[in-house]
Amino acid sequence: MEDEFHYQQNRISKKIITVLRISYSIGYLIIFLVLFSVLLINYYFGWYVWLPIVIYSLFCIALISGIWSILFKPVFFQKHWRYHIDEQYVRLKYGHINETFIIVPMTKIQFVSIAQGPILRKYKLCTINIGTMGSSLSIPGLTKEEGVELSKQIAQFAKIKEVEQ
Amino acid sequence: MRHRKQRLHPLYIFLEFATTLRNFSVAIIYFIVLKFNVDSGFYIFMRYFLYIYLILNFIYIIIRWLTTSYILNEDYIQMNFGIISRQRRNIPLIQIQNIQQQTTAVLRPFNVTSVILETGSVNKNASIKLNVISKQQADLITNTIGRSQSGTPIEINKLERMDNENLQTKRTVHFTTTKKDIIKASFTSLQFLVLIPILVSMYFRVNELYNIEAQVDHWIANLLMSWIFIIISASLLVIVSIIFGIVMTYFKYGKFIVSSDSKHIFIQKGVFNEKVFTIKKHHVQAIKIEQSLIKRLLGIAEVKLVTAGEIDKEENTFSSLYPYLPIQKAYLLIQELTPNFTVVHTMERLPKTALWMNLLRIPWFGIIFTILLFILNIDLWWSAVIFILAYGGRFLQYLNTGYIINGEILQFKSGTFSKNVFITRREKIIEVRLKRSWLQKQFKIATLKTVNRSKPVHHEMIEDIPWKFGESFIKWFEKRPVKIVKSNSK
Repeated sequence: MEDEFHYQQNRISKKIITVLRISYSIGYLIIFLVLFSVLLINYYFGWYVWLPIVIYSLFCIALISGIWSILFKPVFFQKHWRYHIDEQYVRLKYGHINETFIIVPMTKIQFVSIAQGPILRKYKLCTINIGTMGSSLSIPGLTKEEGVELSKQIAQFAKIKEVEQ
Repeated sequence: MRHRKQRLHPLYIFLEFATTLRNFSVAIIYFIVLKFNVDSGFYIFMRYFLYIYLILNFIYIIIRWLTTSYILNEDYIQMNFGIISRQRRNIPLIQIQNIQQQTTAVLRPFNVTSVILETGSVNKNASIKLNVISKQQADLITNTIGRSQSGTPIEINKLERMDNENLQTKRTVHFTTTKKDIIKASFTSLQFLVLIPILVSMYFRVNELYNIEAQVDHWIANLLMSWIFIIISASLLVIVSIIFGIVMTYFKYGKFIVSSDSKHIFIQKGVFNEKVFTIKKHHVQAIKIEQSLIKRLLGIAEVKLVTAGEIDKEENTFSSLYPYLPIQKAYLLIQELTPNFTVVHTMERLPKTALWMNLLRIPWFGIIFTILLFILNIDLWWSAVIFILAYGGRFLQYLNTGYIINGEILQFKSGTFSKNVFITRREKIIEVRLKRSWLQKQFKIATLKTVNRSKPVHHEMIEDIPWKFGESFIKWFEKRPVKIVKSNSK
């Protein structure tokens, strides 16, 4: 199957794995803190007897999904993300269990922007947002230079206008 | 006299003021009419407050009328408005996606109308609304836009001199509502049922006041119980409600005219409030043919045009060619109006694996329903009914789904009990998404989503098509013929 879409060869930077791990860790830390504080408050005020059972089961679910998201998901995410940009189309492919292919004509693109959060900045990475007439696509985990280069390129290509029939 | 500034029709002032009066009607009736002679402080204050407010409002409307103007050129229309912060809005005529003319019943005798020009942009400032202008001006604007878009702009002065009749003779009328259509529509839309709740609520209200039931019990109980009386009153009720339904439908869909010339489609509707909608044929992004279960049984369909500009809040950015078209007439209309959208009647069916896939999906609704039944301690047999309906629906869905690529045309068909056909052209699709889950991958099928220009964008999805078709679809899409023009770098 891979060779049918072989032109999507550009991959995203491996550093995105670390970035995703950090941001997922922070996210799950917050979830655990919230759950823990609810547990403490419940214990302190003696609200409900059944609440701890719910919270412990939520703990279990969060733990399993946390291990998956922090250890494995970023690796798969990076491994299966592909993009390709040429004069006519933007092509994206991501996901392995749930595969998604996206193709957008260059002429339908309205803007490109570069976004960079604090963690991304530390690792000198950026995300490109491509706004079409309808939705917005984003390519994550590009190095800063790649990102700037790519957004310039897209802007250049998108300047070519199609004749509205 | 070229490109002279135009004002809105002076009637604008009175209409706007009438709107203000209407908005304050309760307060005006209460404080000025009913309590005019009451001399307590609050009432006097409110009276004077209303007087001053209304006078100021009237002056404000006059100023607004004085400061609003527009200029029509060969290739753009400019609108100037705003009292304190002046705004100038320039819209190139070529970018206008559709035109709407609205003539409310009040406006009709004065030969004025209001015009809305829509561009396809998502931006709020992208449309122009000329609230009250003379019919002549409206026609001039429409014709100028038509000329500039067809690439043969004529000087406005010439156009102005041209006879209006002269410009409109080329239009061919494709569809007008006949009596038969109205009657059919009133039955399909179940308009006649509207009367029943009204009558029932009226009965209860009257009953509260005069206590009919008590009187009936004593006086005419025997008469009411007699069969003749019941039959007569019931048939009267049926006749009245049918007539009521037909009249209601007539007001809604009577005088529905679909016409076209070589480049444009015109849809006119409304008995009291007339609306004319104009769109260029090439600006039609896609066509939808929709049939609910009742419509399917009666052989009626609704044809909707998906367009880039916003049309009407209540009509969800589609403009409907009459909603109760006989199906054959619907196909004929599509062929006549938009020759570059052809309907294909035999489509590819989904592979058998798609059915398995559909049956394997988790029936969330049924599960949640069963859990609810369990919690509420209701007989669990009801969940069996839901599951049968859900799986029966899935089977029908599998049977009803179809897809085909025919030259430049893409066509999807879907629906469980209803039937929806979606037709678009290759160059009108602005985004394609092809997805497959792990399970779909095992079955060699995928889900295809397309996006068309509209406001907001129109998504169309078809589930469980063969993966091979998905691939060839993307290849087909990649070969879209594009006329490219380098835009001037600004």
